[in-house]
Amino acid sequence: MLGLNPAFFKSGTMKTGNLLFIGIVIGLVLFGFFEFLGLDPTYGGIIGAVIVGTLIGKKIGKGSEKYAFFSIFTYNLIGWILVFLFTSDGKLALQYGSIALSTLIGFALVMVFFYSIIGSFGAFVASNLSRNKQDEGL
Amino acid sequence: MNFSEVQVIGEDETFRGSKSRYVWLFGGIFIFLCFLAMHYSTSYLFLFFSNSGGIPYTLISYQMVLSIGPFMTMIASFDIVSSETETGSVRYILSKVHRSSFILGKFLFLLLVFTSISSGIALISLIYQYSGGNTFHFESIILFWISSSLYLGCFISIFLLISILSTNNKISFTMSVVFLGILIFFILQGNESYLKYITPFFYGIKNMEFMKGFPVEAGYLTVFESLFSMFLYILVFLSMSLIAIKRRDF
Repeated sequence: MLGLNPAFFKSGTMKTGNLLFIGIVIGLVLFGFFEFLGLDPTYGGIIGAVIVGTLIGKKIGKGSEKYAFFSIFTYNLIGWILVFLFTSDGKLALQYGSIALSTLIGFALVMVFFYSIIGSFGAFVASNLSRNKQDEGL
Repeated sequence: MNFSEVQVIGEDETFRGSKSRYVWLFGGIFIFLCFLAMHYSTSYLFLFFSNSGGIPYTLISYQMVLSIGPFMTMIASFDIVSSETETGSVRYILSKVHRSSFILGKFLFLLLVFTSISSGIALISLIYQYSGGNTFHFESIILFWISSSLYLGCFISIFLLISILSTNNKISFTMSVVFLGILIFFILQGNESYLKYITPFFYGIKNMEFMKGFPVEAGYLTVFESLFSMFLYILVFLSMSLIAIKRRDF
């Protein structure tokens, strides 16, 4: 059984998977917090992406950009789906009809894509600024 | 940091560096594009300005610098350190010179090239003004020169930082494109957004209105503010580059 092997839990794959999950949870918490504060979604999205991206970059190290991108894209997607389904503004938007809704969803997806790119850049900077990494450099 | 080391690195990059000729080539292309814009300025003015007395050559050159400058800077400077990291030559250089001297030498080389390019564009603009029978606006030319040099300096410091952080040219180029995309995304958020303050575009665009005629009274403060902001921007990114090179293992 692979799960019973203690070495598996110490391996990089397990660590990365856990970190992705933690990144998504932290991102969702930040997303909810910024929604609660009523902060502009653009600022909230960027700040959340930078925090999650930096965290993932520092923990995973080299090659963390794709994980940061995936994590930020996922939590934003989950967050926006929850906003659309469970808030009065979201329900109002859903009632507007197909064209307005598809425009809104398209705009939200473009913004989420940009937040993910910003977050992955944050991860790139954080991972390369971390000191004494054995797998970095030449 | 040792200034003689900085000078050695700068001189080596300028006169003997393998990348030097490409940087000068891109600079030449940049000047040529500005020359083309000024040469066909009548058509250009017809497109963008309906009512204008005399052709504002300085403004046209400045708009070219604002729009094409970041891309030209990126092409010229994205691999300034990452190519050395990729080939491994950075280890030999850093065994001889201090890390901060290495970075400052590279930065000063690129700043020298792009300041020369700004001077070239300003000179062409001056020649066109003279041949067009317009009155000379030396203040505008000097403002153009300082402003465009600082504006391009901001981008040099950004791409230098990315180049230091990257292990090879491919990553450096990708991340430079990504960061330029992020900056464009920030400036496109509009005038009400605070994100504009993070981009050099905002400080560059602020000076654009003064390229037709030099500011009077309150305008001086705006010019000083934007030039000082660009200088601070360069300092911040250069400091980050120095921190990055000190923390990196090669």
